[in-house]
Amino acid sequence: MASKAATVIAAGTVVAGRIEGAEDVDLFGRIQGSLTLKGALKIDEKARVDAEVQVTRLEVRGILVGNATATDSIELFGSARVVGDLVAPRIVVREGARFRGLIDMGDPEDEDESAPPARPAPRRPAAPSRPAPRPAATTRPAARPRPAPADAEDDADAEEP
Amino acid sequence: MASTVIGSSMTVDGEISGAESLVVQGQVKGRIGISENLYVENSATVEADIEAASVEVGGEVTGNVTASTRVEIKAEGRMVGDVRSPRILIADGALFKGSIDMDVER
Repeated sequence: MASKAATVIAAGTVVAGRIEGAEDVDLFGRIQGSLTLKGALKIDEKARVDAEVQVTRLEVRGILVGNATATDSIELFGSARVVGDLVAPRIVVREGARFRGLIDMGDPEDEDESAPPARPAPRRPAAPSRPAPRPAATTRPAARPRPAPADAEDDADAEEP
Repeated sequence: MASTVIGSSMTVDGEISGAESLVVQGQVKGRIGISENLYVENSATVEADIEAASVEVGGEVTGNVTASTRVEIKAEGRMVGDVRSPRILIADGALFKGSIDMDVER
């Protein structure tokens, strides 16, 4: 997990307000407000974010309260505690992570045949047989629901071996 | 140990506070209040009122600065604002506009 973050927010530092940039950020302290980044945000175990987050890639090991959108992926590690909605084409919830909110990986309908097989395969060594889109698929018949919070937790459960 | 770094592509509009030193390479607007040293590097632009133990200005600073130990404006530094600090250094080549108050007992 090599980190080439140019921006580091140390453990005792609080940054409040609007933050923008085009580089990776390693967070050990706190962020409040909003963060828009062309780059990866890593939230360390002891770090806390109370903000709307828009990034390329998000790794959460600490606390995140707020909605997060990633153009690439979102990964919640075992120590993560997250309250908010997550939107990304690829979302990983690892065992131990605590999460409340919605998960949106896009509409399976839009890319019906092509996308689902292609998506879950790479970078998912833990649970290749249970791709995350599944819970969404089970609720599909009921019109076009956004996955309910309960689904998100099913998602987390599904990761257990 | 580790200090906070605001990288050169970053823009922070708000407040930065903390107990570690802070290195600014990008842009900060608003307020900075830290109990350690602040380094404003060449590439940086800071438009903020600043409170820190010490402040080193190599970039551009607009705002009032209060430092408990010292303020240094380096040769490449450009600064507009009032400075309160017991020790102040202004290097040859530095640009500064504002008042200086070294009579700070705190």
